[in-house]
Amino acid sequence: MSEPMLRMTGIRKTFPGVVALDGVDLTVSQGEVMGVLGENGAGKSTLMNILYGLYTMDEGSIEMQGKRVQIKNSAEAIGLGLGMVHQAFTLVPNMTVMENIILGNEPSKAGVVDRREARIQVQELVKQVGLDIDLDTLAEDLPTGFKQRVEILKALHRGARVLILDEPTAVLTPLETEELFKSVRRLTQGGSTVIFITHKLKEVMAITNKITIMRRGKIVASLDTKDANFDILANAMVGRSVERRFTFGPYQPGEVLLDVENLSATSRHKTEALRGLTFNVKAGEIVGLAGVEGNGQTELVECIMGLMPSSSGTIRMKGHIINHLSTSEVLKLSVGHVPEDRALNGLILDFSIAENTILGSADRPDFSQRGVMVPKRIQEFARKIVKSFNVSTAGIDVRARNLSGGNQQKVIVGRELAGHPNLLIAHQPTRGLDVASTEYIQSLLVEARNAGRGVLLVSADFDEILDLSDRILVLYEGKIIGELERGAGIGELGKLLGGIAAP
Amino acid sequence: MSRASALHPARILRAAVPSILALALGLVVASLVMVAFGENPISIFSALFSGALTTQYGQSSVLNYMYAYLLLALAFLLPGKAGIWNVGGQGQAILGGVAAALLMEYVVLPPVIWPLAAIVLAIFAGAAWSAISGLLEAYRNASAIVTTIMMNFVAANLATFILYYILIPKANVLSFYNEVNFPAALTLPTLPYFTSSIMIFIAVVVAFGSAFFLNRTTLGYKIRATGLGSRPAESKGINPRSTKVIAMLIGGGVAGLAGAGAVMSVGHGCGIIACYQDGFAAGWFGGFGFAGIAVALVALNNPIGSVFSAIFFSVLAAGMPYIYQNIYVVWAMQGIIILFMAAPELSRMILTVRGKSRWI
Amino acid sequence: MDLTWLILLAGFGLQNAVPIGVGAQGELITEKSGILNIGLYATMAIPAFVAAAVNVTFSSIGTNSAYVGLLAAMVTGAALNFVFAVLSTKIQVDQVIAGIGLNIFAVGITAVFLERFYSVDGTPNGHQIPPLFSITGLAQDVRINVSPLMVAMFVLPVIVYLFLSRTKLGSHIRAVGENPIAAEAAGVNVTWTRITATALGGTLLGAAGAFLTVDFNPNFVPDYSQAIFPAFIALAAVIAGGWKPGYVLAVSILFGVSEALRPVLAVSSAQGYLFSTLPYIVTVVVLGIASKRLRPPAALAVPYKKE
Repeated sequence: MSEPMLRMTGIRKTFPGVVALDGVDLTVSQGEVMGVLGENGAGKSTLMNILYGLYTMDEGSIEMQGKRVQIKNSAEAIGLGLGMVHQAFTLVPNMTVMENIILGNEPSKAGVVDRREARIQVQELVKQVGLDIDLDTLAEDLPTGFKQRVEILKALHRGARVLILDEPTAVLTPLETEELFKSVRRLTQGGSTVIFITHKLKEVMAITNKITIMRRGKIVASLDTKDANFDILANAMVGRSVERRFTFGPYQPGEVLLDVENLSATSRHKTEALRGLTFNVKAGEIVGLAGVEGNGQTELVECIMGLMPSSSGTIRMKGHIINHLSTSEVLKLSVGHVPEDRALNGLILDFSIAENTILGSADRPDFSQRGVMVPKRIQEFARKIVKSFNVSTAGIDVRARNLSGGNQQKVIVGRELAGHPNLLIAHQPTRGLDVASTEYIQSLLVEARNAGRGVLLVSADFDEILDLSDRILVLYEGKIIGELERGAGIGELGKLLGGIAAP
Repeated sequence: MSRASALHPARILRAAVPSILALALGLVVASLVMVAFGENPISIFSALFSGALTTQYGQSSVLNYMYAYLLLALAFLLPGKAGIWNVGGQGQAILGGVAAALLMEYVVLPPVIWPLAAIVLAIFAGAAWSAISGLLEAYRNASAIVTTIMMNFVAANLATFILYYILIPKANVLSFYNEVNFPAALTLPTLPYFTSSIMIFIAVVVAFGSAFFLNRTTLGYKIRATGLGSRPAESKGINPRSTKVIAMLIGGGVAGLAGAGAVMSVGHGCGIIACYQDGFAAGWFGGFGFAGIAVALVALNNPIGSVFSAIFFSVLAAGMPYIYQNIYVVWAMQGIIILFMAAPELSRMILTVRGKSRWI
Repeated sequence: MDLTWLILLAGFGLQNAVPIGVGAQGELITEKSGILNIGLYATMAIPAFVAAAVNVTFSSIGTNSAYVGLLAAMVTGAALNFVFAVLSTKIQVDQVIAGIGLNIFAVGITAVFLERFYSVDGTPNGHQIPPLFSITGLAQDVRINVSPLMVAMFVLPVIVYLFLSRTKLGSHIRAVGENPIAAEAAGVNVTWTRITATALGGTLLGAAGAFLTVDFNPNFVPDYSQAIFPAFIALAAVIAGGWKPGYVLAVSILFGVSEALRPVLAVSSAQGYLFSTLPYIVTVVVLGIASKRLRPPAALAVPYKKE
């Protein structure tokens, strides 16, 4: 075949305030397994969403087998032979595997589904791909690995010739991962083309023919897998932009504040999110918990904050076991928490700034007497936070919804720091923020650390981790697979992030 | 600063525009229906308004309807602030009234304590009834909309049963509310000149109290936080489940209070009592519980706004006897008004808030 | 209890059950697609009186005017639900508020109809659907009519079940009610599927309403202040039957029978009221137990916004 199966040229996409893709080219040949490697925010998902018709690109062109195509929605993408297996599965729980596979594409006569024909069709596919599965089980009863098979079969049933797998092994056991790789090999042998999006170095080396590495919306490297090794990949994946300068006081960690030992927990999706996690955070240090999203970060923070139960192991705060405590009890132990998604979890958007600053502390004697709030004191407190943390706003009565992302985050961080917590947990604190706000928030974290507080920085922004942390712990598949100190090389970090533990 | 300007008449009027628009549209549509059936809307509405507002009987009726509508509006909107739909005000009020009536028949207490005890019991009864739905939604994820509607019917039938099986035999009369005169000690004092009780004052006080409660107390704050952002609230230690239940209890209690008022007013609340006579009819959507919901929705779920909204709806209700053959079109009009309030812009305003926050 | 009572109970029970059973199947289809139609009272009551009106208007053509009325009711029901669905899905009107508004509106507007199409003593004007056969002689002045609609009530669950499980549209409806995102990703138009399902539901609700006004049902006495429609019992039946057509039918019959206990057992009217609470209590209990485990369509009453 002379023309490549897929050629994307000069793809550009911006969202308000941020350039997601900056002139990206991607060429995939038929029968190839193309690995797309990159960290969070690199742009891989955005690129694939454009390909699958979920987003529209600002500039650029897409050609399939030499012909220029326009993809306006997923139906059109499907029509062109593109199939996507999403990270979050899109199956209907109480329908059978077969019903799910044929959904939206049912062979039918006069509106009645032709079950026999459907079964024949699906069984053919199963044979082709070697993904054995019981067609009559309900989707909700399937283990996760099987759910993914159904998704693949679904794409194939609609005639997908190019399969896009988005972080497919995120929820698979090693055994299931092996099975998936076997299927991928069979698929390509049968003529299908596969695009494999991942951040896991071992896998990308194991299954792909070519690797494309993305970073901050650009392609930074493109090579054959046989020419690649972990170091090359890691360095490319975790590049460095301008290093930010912060003033760090001497590194003299004090007492152990947070002590996590052998913590295990099951996620909402019934997977083992944390598998025996052990680490600690001391006073006067910033511990950066680095990791691509989906490796257990959310579950860890929720366990610590009492929002989710752990299944085994202990969490100690200054020596006291806190596993079973409620959120308000944990907060009372002088823990500050900047949550992961400020609009969803951090602020009540329809409350004013003032009302948000007292969230969780309305009962405090400084803010209320016998159940009645004292507006003057609350206003004073809110004004203080707005002033001290440079929140740009017309007043403390402005609804949080009307603030910019950066200012919203300043309110949250200000609120947490105003309580002078011993331990501050900052979960993706600068995600989606502009440069100025990002720097400002980061400087607040450094200040807190210099003032003797302990900071647990959970972030997928590796620049941030490298800039701020005294110690870096890499979280991978629910465990800490490595620890680095300040000044560690990108390559080392990159390898750990990709799952390659130090020998 | 914003505090003073928040209460500026111009701002209040601007906030009331969508509500007034909905009311006006309702009137227009109702008029069209009347014309379609060959009636004259102008003469009908003028008969309604003049009857309600110019006669002494009408004015007393307005006050009587108003307290019930206002309290039942609060019964809907207070849990609403926590994010839970309490469509069960009807049933909660009925049982409140029944509780008060039962106390009257079976227990005699010294003067001032007696009516107070009846009122307290009624509040408890309403709260207990709403607690069932509240607990089921908070802890079992059972839709409060559906359970409260179901509980309305249960309450109506239960109340009728108690009425015919317990209260009437004990009082040995044929028709409880028409023939039994509650002892003066148990009747609420009336206003001078009007034949309505002081419930109207109580209701207005409760309405203003609710505004204060929601905006100035820590519990009210937690309720609003749960309603507007249960996840951020939970991450800061506010328990959404228990907060929702508490909000439901408050709503049910307020409804129970309305029921007590209906039973304990001289002349038994003037019209509302018809629902007690044919108890099972009271479970359906023609009852005053649902008018209360209309009042709250038109007021954009605002307790003070509900006072004004209640005036409008109680004038409509009080005027009905003066237009006998056409009451049902007016009833249909209430439905149309609610439909307008369901429009996305408006329902968003009902369910969240707008502009600047004024109180803290 | 002798045989007479049993037959009477069954007879009256089944008669009561018809509007519940038929209406519940309709509401089931709607809810399976994820729309909670609180306004089902309106979709039963308004078509009921449209049926009565059409019946009277066409009474000159003979007894078939009742069937014309029935047809008119089904069309009205479909139209009403269609409008409700369009408002809820495309315009994102709040389902609950709109439902409450529709019900209150229906209360008013049907009373207006009542005046004009029913005579003073409550008997409907116009012809009634002739029953398939009647049972008389069991007790004084008692007559049980077995109407074609009663037969329909038994057949419907089978049709609904086959529709939902074997047809394309049925599969789409189920998918849309469980996981609309998955359905959309599979190329199913969530909005139109929901609108269609709701309109279909409205057809059956309309038929159920028509039964009350154009099919002789001695237990139904419309009057100004208590035109009670079995709408909410139908809603209860859908829930108590776990959204499965066969169970919903069984529960509908059960509820119909519980309403029949009062006259048949000549229970004092007071105790009869307690019996009347049963359907509602059962529903609340089922919701309490099942909401976490059993299966309301997962997307029920959750508005769907396209990204």
